[in-house]
Amino acid sequence: MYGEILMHVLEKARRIDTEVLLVHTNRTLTRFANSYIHQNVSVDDIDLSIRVIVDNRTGKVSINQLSTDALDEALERAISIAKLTPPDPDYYGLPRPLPIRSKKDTVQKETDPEKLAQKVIDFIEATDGLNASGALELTDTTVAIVNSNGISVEDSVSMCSLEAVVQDGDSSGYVYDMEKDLDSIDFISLAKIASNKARNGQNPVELSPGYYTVILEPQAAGTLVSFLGLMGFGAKQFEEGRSFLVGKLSEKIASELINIWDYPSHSKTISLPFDFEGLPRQDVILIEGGIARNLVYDFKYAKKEGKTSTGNALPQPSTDGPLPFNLTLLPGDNTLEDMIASTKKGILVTRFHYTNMVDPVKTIITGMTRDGTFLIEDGEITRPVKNMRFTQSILEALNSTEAVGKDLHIAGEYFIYPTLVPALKLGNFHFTGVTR
Amino acid sequence: MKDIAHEALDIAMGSGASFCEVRVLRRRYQGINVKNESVESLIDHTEEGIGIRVIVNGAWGFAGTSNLQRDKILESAKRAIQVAKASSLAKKEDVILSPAPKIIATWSNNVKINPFDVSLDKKVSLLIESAKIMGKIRDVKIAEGSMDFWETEKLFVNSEGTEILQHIIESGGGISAYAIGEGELQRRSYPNSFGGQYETRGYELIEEMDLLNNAQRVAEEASALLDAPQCPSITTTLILDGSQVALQVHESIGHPIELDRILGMEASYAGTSFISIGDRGKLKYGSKIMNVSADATLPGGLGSFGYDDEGVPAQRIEVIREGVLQNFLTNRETAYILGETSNGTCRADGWGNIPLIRMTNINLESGEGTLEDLIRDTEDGIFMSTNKSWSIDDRRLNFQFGLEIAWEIKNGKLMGILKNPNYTGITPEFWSSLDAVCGPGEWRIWGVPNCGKGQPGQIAHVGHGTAPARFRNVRVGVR
Repeated sequence: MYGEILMHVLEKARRIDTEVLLVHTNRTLTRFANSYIHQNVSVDDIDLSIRVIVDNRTGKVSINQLSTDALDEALERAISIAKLTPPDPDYYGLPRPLPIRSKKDTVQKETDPEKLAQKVIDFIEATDGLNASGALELTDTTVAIVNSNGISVEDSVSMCSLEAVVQDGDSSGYVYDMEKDLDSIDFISLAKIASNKARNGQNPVELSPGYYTVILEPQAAGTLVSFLGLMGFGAKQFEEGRSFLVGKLSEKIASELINIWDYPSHSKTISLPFDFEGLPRQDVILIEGGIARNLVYDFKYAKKEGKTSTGNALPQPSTDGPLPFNLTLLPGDNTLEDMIASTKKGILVTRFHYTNMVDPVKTIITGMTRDGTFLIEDGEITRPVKNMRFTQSILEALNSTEAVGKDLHIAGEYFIYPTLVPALKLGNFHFTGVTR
Repeated sequence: MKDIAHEALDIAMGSGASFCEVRVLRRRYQGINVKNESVESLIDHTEEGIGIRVIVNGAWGFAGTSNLQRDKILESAKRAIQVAKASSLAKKEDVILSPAPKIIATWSNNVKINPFDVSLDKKVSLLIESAKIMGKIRDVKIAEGSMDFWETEKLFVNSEGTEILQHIIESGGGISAYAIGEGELQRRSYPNSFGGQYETRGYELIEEMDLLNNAQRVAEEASALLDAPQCPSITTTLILDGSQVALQVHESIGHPIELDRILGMEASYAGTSFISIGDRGKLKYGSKIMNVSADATLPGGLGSFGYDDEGVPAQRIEVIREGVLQNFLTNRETAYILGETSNGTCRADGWGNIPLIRMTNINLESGEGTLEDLIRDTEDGIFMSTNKSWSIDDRRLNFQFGLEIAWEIKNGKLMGILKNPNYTGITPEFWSSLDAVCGPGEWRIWGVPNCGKGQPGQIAHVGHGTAPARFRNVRVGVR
C-alpha cells in the first residue's frame, strides 16, 4: 500500500544510507463514565520518518504528510541535519533483509461507532444499575519500512480492548480484555465480573503494612512483568551497566516456576512479525526455570556484541535501545480458584495503580492496589481490603512464587507494551502503606 | 489554516451539529539527546492536522485527520457527526456548555531567541561539552544531556464565531550523571530530572541554565551517592527543594482539583478524587500558610497560553486560601454544572485529541526567607532534592516520592548526604504539616512536560511555581 511512497524517498536519496519508516494508525475510542458515553473519538494519523546516514553521521526527520513535496523537503532536511551531527563510532550500517514469518493476524474491519456504542450499552446494562466507566478502543496499525540495503516490509495489526471500572458507592471492580477483534470480547461476562467485585468491595477493612502472601490476578501480574521488561532485558541497558542482569546471566534470579519469554509467535500475542528496522521478531527465552538466559538485541547492539538481532529494535536511533515487546510469563498448572483455596492468609489483588520505578538495578517498584482487593483466610475470600501501597523488588517477589496460573491473559501497563500473563501466587510481598 | 477550519465548521454545522469547534494545528519539535560525548538521537519532527469536535443530539463526537485535503476534511467532519450520534445512544442528559464570549484574537508568547534559529552545532556542542565534564568524574559511566524545543501554531474556531490564532514556543533542557557501582546506580540531574527544566521561552532559557558550570558538581554528587549512607527509615521534619514541591503540588493538588475527575469522568483510567463537589469553601486541604493559585497568564510558565482550547481566555484563579479549598479547574461543560463559566483550563494535546481539563500553572505562593534561613531554622530533619520516582493512589491520597539526594540536617546545618531518600504521606495530612515556605527569591515556575491524562492518553505541558518548603512529622526512608 505504501511501497511507492517509501520507495520514492529511497530513489531520491540515491546512494546515501537511508531508512524510511511509516506508521499509519486509525483509532476509534468510545469512552464512558457514570454509565453514559461522555467522550468519543475517531482519529487517523500517519507518522513517516526518514533516517539518513552520511559518513556515519545520522539525521532523522519525521513528518505526517505524504505529498511528494513534503517527502522531498523532509529528505533534504534529514541530509542537512546529518551533515551537522558528529559521526557515530558505533554505526554498523543498515540491516539487510531476512525472511519474515508469515503474519497470522487479520485486520479489524469494524469501524462503525454505532456498533461500539451498542457494545458499551450492553456492558452498562449488564452492571444492573451500578456506575460504569471505561474505554472501548479499536486500533488498526499499519507499519511499512524500506531501507537502502533492500529491506521492504509492510504489515498491519489490529487490536480491540475494553478497560472498565464499575463502582458501587465507594467500592469498585476492574476488568480488562484485549482481543484481535470486537466480537471476541464478552462484554456481558466482563460487566458481571467487575460488578461482583464492586458489590463485594463494600466496607473494606484496613490491614497493617507488612509482608503478605498475595495472589495477583493477570492484570496485577502484568504490572510486574511489564516493569521488569523496562529494567534490563535490553542489550543496551546491559552494556551500559544499568540492567539488573549485569553479572547475573546464567544465574538463578527468580523461582524455578518463573519462565519469561519475549514471545511474538505465541498464538495469543498481538504483534507485527517484524521490528522497527524491518527485521524478523524472534522468540527469545529471557528467564528459564528462574535462570537468566538471554538479552534482546537490535541490529546495532547485535553487531556490537557479535550476536544476531532478535528483532527488538525500536524506531532508530533509540535512546532506550532494544526492548522486549511481547513479554510472556509462561503458564503453570493452577487455576485462580486453586491458588485461593491453598492460601491460609493472603491478599487477592485485581490490579495495581500508578506503579513506578524506584530502583531499576534492584528492580524495586512502588504502587497501589485498586479496584478489587480482598483478604483470603483459610482458603476463602472473606473481606474486602482498603487499598494498600507496595514497595517491592520484582525479582525478590518472583523468587517467592508459589504457584503460576494456567490461563494466559493480555495485561500490562499503559505506557509499556502489553504482556501475556497468568495469575501468580507470591509468598512474600511487601505492603508499606495504606490509603485512607 | 483559516479556510480549512471554516470549511470543516460549515460542513459540521450543515450536517446536524448544534455546536462545533475546530482546531487546525502545525507543530514542529526538535529533540537532541547526547550520551557520553555521542549524539544518541537528534529528531526533527513536524506535524499538522485538524480536529473537529461536535455536539449532535446532545452528545459529543470528535474526529481528526492529518490529511488536509478537502475531501478528507469533509469525511472527518461527517465522521465527527457519526461518532456524536453514536454517543447519543448512551447519554443520560444533553451536554450543555456554559457561555463563553465570542473572541477574535491572536496571541503569541515572548521569546528572546527563537530556538529554531540557533544552530544545531551550538546546541550539540554545549551538550557534548557538559557530558565530557561529567564523564571525567570517578564512577560516572553515563553522562547525558538533552534539549527539547517546540513551536506550535494553532487556529481555533467555533460555531459561536470565535476565531483565535496562537503561536507558542517552548524550550527545555538538562543534564544527568549516572554513577554505577557494585549492583547500584545513582543519578544526579540539573536543573531538574527527567529532561530538565521547561518553560514557554526561547533558547535564552538554555543559556541561563549554565549547564557547563554545573556539570562537575552534578557528576561529583552522583559519584558521592554510591558511598553515602541510606536515608534512615524514620518520621522526621522534611524540607523539599522547589522542584520536588512542584511535583508534590502536581500530584496532590493539581490533579485532584480537576472537576472532571471529581465528577467521575476519569474513573476508568487515572481515577477519581478525594474531593467532592460540595467541598468548596469548606475542605481543609492544608495549613494556614498554604495558598495555591492556578494561573495561565504567568510569562514563561510552561502551562501558560493566551486562550485555552475552548477559546476561553487564560486567567488566574484562587485554588486554596489559607489552607481551605476555594475552586476547581473547569471547562465549559463542567462549569455549567456549577452554574458558572469556565475558568479556562481546557486543553488538548495536538490536533488529534479532544480538549480535557488540564492544569495550567498550579502554584504554591511564596512565603519568606531563603533556603539557607529555613535550614538554619530547622533543628533536626532531612532536606531532599530532585525527583526520581512518583506514585499516588487513584483518589490522590496516599503518595510516595523518591528523590535523587538528601542531606541530614542537625542543629540547623546540612550534614552528610544520604542516598535513596523517599517519603510517603496522605495528601491533606501532609499539607497540614506545612509550616514554612521560602520567599520570592527562591520561587520559580518549574515545568512538567509529561503530564498524562485521558483515553486515548494525552500529554500536557504544565507548570508549578514553588519554593522550598518544610513539612513536619513525615515518614521517610520507606523500604
